[in-house]
Amino acid sequence: MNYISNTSEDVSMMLKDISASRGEGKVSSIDELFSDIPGGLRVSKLGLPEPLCELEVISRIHSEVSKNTNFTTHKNFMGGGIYEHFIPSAIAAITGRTDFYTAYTPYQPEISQGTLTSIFEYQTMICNLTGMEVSNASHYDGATAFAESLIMAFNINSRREFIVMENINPAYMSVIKTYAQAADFKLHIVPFDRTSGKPDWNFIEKNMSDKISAVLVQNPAYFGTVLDFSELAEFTHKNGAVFVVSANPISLGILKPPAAYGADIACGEGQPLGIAPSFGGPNLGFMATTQKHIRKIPGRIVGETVDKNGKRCYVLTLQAREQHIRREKASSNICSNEALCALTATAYLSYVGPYGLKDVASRCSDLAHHLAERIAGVKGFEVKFKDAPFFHEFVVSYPKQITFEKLFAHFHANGILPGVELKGFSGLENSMLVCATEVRTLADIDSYIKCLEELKW
Amino acid sequence: MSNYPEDLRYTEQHEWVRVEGKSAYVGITDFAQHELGDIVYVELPGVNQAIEVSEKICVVESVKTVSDVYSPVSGKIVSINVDLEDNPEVVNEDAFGEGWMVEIEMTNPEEIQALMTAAEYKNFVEEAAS
Repeated sequence: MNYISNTSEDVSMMLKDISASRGEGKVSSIDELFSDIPGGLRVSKLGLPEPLCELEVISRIHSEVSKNTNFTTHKNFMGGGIYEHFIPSAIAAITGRTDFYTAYTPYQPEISQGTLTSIFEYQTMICNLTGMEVSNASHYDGATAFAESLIMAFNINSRREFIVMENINPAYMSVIKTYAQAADFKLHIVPFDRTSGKPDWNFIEKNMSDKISAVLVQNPAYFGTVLDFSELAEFTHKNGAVFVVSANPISLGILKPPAAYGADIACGEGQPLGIAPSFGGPNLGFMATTQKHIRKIPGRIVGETVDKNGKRCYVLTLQAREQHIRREKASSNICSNEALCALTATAYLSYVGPYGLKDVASRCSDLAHHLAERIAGVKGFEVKFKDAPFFHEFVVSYPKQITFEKLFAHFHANGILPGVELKGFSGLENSMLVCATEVRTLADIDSYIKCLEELKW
Repeated sequence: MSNYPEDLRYTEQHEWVRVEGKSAYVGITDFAQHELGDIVYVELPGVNQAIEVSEKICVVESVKTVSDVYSPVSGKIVSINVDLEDNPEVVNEDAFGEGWMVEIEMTNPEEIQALMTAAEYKNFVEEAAS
């Protein structure tokens, strides 16, 4: 495809052809083709500035971009679902290859063996990380993967009620509520204890019934806290319901995989795996399940087989579950995947390897724990849920006399992004979510503490 | 060519029923298996499940499509053909025999009378084809 617009010769040729085929009067201009749209609705003038040459455009873009705060201008301690990690240059070198550089699963997939191989590798790695047996080819993002698990659980046991932890990422909760409303599902939202961070077990017991399709947890939770959910998984299974875990994939470098504590569906946001945090994405949702539920998992699945010569090759498999064949009875309307982001995650995981991933996770956790300890030592600031283990993120409450705006402005002026303000959680007013990943240094933490100590209240 | 055993009753969704006392054995017809092509998976229901007439009881997956199997009668599922879990191709090979899917203990045996006889079903299939 080229981007050269039609010449006046092209235009008159096309108009001539249109006139000839129409047979009801000649069309003499492009505007005439839009004559069905009332004049008042047609835009006559767009009010665009004068055109610029390439050199001017680039310089204009640079000057606009320089107004942004970014991870090179500021030391970042914000997370809340999207995390800054080091992305080795090798990743872009692999994903940028023209053989791979497409956002889409090809329409004639089997002709693109390279793409299918990379998706197969991706699925294998997601299974290795989560401990599950089957992975799909990916979802739009972690929130939609989590929400799709509701529909999947419904397809498994035909039940319409769900138990969901309150301490999941509020963005995930919002997507889950949207899905639930459209599908006529009922949600029971489990409050968490404001001191320990643990979900209210009594609430779970009271709301568990043979109507409950699934229990959904996020581990680490939105507040960074890590819980042993094996007892809850067992209780869930005893009631014929499905246990769903959303996990941070980097945390799985050091934490137990969801399969080890009873997950039937494991999903999560794959952005930390080599994908740059961007305003609005693209992100990567991963989703995996057990062999038992292979026909219930939404999305595409790449399988390994042999060609007519007995050589290994890859295919899109189990397609009969999918929308283009099963129509309205399909288990999901997901009929594509985030192929380029899945490839990025595959390249990242191959590059760091299992030991590298463990190192990244340990360094995140070590730095975050060091930071939490230092913050707890500053008068007026408190680390919440302090008895709960956490991964690389935690909640800090600040004195009532300080607004988040004031706190943020002070840090920002000193080249630091201090954290994500917590909103909508009663009992956690005047609190923020603070995160440290492997890209931070002890010197960054010193600067953070200095900023905190300078705050006047 | 498809065959149409005389001792069975048939539905418009191409299920067959064999009545043995209170039990109704249900499967899909030879015509149906032929239309579906190679069957690769049969999803069976849970035993002891109560079902109504026309309710979905099985899902049959072939290389080209997936179809639901609906119950021709009301009752309780008392047994399922577990052999199909490992050998779904039996449905292709012997649709009216070893390819049976569920046994239903009927609560209303009268419902059988509403189903097509072999001759009626044969006509139904041939008319649909022409």
